[in-house]
Amino acid sequence: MRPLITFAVVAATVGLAADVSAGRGGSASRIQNAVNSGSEDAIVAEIERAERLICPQCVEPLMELLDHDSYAVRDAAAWWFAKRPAQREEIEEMATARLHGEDSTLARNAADVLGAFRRPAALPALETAASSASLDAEARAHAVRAVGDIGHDRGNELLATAMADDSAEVRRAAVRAWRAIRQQDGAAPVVDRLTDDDARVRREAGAVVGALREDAARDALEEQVVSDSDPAARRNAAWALGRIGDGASRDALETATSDSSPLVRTTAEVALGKLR
Amino acid sequence: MNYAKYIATKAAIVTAIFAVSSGCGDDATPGDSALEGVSAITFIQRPARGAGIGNVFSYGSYEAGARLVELRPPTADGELSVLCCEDQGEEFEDIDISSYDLSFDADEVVMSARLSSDQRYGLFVLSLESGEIEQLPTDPGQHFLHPTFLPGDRIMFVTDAVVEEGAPQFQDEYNRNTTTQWGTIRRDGSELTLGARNLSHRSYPTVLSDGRVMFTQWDHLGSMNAGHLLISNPDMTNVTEGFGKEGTGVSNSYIKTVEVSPGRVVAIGTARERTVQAGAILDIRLGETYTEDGELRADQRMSEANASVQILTPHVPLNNEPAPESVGRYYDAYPLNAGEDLELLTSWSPGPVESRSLGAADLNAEFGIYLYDAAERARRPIWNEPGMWDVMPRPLEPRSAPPRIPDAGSHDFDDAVLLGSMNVYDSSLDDFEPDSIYAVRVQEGYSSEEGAPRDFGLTEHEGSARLGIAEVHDDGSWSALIPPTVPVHLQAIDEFGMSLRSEPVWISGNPGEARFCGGCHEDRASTTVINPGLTEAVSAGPFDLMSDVPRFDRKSDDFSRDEVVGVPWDQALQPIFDEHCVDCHDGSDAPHNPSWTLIDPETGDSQTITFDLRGHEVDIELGEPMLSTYSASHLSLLGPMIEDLDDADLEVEGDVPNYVQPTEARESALIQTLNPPVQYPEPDTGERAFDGPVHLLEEGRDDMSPDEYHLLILMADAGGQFYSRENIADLGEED
Repeated sequence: MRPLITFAVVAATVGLAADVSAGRGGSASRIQNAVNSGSEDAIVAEIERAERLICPQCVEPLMELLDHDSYAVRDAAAWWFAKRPAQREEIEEMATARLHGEDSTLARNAADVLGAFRRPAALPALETAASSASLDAEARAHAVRAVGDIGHDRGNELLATAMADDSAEVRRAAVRAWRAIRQQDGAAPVVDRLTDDDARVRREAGAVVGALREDAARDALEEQVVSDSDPAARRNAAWALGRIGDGASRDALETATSDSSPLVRTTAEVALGKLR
Repeated sequence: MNYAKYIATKAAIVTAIFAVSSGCGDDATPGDSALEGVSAITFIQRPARGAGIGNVFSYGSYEAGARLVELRPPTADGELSVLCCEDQGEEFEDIDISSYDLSFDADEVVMSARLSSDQRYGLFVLSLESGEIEQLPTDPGQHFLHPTFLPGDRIMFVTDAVVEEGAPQFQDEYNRNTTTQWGTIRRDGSELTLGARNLSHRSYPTVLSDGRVMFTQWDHLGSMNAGHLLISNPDMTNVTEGFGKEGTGVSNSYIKTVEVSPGRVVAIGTARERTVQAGAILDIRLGETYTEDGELRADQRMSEANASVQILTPHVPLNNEPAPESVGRYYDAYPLNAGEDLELLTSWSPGPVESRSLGAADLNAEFGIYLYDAAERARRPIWNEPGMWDVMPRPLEPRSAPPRIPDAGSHDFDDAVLLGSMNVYDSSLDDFEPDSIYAVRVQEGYSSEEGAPRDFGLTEHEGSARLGIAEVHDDGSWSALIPPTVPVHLQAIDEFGMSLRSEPVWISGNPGEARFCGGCHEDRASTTVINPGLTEAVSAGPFDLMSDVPRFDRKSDDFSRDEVVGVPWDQALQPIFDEHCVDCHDGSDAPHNPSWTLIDPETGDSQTITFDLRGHEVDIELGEPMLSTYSASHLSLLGPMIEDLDDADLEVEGDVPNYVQPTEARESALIQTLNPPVQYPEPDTGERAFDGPVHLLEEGRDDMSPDEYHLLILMADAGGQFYSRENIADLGEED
């Protein structure tokens, strides 16, 4: 007998069928088993599976997962509560209090939860946390990130302020979040970050001003593409200049076509072809 | 032997004499193999990982230390050399590589690689002769993944970048990730083009020998939640279904497809999540099979109805249960021949290859390179580097380049998509009564990325906006212009405005693309005959369904039949209930307000839910509030879904009614009871959709207006959403 098994035979004999409804079959015990396993992916999968589960037994373990070490787990748990308004309101109150507190880990987790809820009403509390002298850079960065997750343009002022934070982690988060705001119009506050002391911030800034075609960034980008010490930042500057497409950038881009880094050369060559 | 001890090391493999069985097959000694003619293979070595690969569409996982390697000859004692990126510069010191493809002449490799945790996956081209590498210019703020060479010096990829300027990328409603969509770029880095979007992910493109492309599309519309195989032209037009639907499928998702011969592919079949993106190897035949030149092919009468599949690794779970110790799962497979019996280069890991089990044991999957003989079900080890995932093996040799399919021409309607059917009555799914279809309704889909809360209501359906209807002509044809790159689904509607058939998939088109079907899910293997040459829809010209209206303006200014777009429950429907219904259906204890009770058998807590069409907020509560129901009217008409109650092990006293069946107004008790009037071409309250009384008139009350009936029907046919785009601005201003 041939070892291959044709589906029709299998289906007829063991009742195998394609499961087209992946979002079913969750339970409190499955979530708990996943938590016990310690696998981030398993926990997230079981939370997703329990999307619409009416599950009083799930509330307590999922509340604990809002403070899990993994962002992915915290995000999934918050998503689960976003659909459950009574608990959500309770969590929002608690998260708001945490953002006004001095425990950075709790504030970080609270910011992640509010970002996952995506309610603009959380912006004032996030603003408080983002500028708090009592919280560490990670917590402030997560507050800024949450503003991007919410995506409402009422968060723009907060992000612009955060771009001047002492911490590069916060500045980078603010630059990235700027792009996540829905129907964002330009990237003027990001331009100064093209000359940031931190290369990761400069990389991010180049990507954002390019994505939003910020004309005011052109001079800084032309300088950056030929002189930045970081190859990825030069690459991003070349890409951004191509997006902006101003013919005045030609000299800088032509110089960049002979850049020492393979990250930059082709990007510069293609950007040249996009200039007006 | 426990799992940890089972993991093979290179030393163990070198000394292996016998093949490792796939579970219950016979051991086999190495014999003549298709691999013997292969001088070298390439594969990726990625640091093993236990997170970030939780479902088949996860794409951002990053661990520094990957490399592209060559094994020459492809045996356990062959010489392994690093092709990339130890000598390519300090920028590549911390590289991770997620996937790659080999050019047709085997001179170049295109890789998706990430250089550091703060950067994203980009596209890199490596010359195998010189070792020189270059990065292609892609948006550095977005990921670019799964590159595959196309004929004509192009590369296809998927990306989380968005084709629609100023719009947010769709976020999968289920796994919450920003979705990946598809695009192409020329080999020289120019002409980056993003294709029309699906509402959920697209991934794993692969080129076929006829020049077309096959890819995995996550289909999520209502309760549909699965990754199917689709086929398109390389310019991302002319998308057709390939495999997985219409009862042909065996698993939830089909990924990492590679062509064996014309019409025949191998793919990994698996569950959506927790399987480390690995599963069983499937031999999929897309049409009727025949043998030619020693190859088993299946490119005749290709259609899902004629497709079949053979499971080459029958003991590997197709769901996400842990695999038995020695069965494991396969990460990918590359065919070495095309005969009846396949030999494949594969990447396989022993053990459960399931996230929960691996996590509990504090282990990672341990993928190594194997040769799999499908006839013998035998697996011969080739290479396994402990601590690394050895994946995506393939021969390092040239292959025939497929023919280049010219880009589709554009129609004369600017950037709009021209959509239509030649004869909507031609369907493999339905027997429509002659003249029963008045029009085709086009519904736009979107997700919560536009600012809606993390849900659209008790329904599983995404956000929806009615772009309009296109009337069906006497010959059954119709056509419409719709906005480009916008996922829509189609409904054939009758004169009452009710759906007769709702297509359960999202489709979209590129700017200027014409997408004309033969019918309404017609037999894909047959020829559609048009008499006498031109359809009436073409002669009359298309209906313009908001083709140039910007996304955020596609919402209702009023809710009349011809103007309504979205149906926000609180704005469009609740006023109807308030005017016509709540005098009786107010949740009071009365025969016209049936009730049912939800009981938690563990705690004894219960909640009685009584039919109530008022608009006040109400939650499902079992001791404490458990689930938002948005409003009493929404709960009474939409939910909860009975599957959710089953999952929760809750008991129900009384019948849980099914007043609104999402996407099926005609099957919904609400609509049947109300008995709506004719809507098209003009409203006629003298003719009703169903036999029997008109509920409001029977109760001695004023009838609803035709517009009000239409809103209720549209709500049901669109999926029963509570929130629509019309709500988003209000939600953003809340304090």
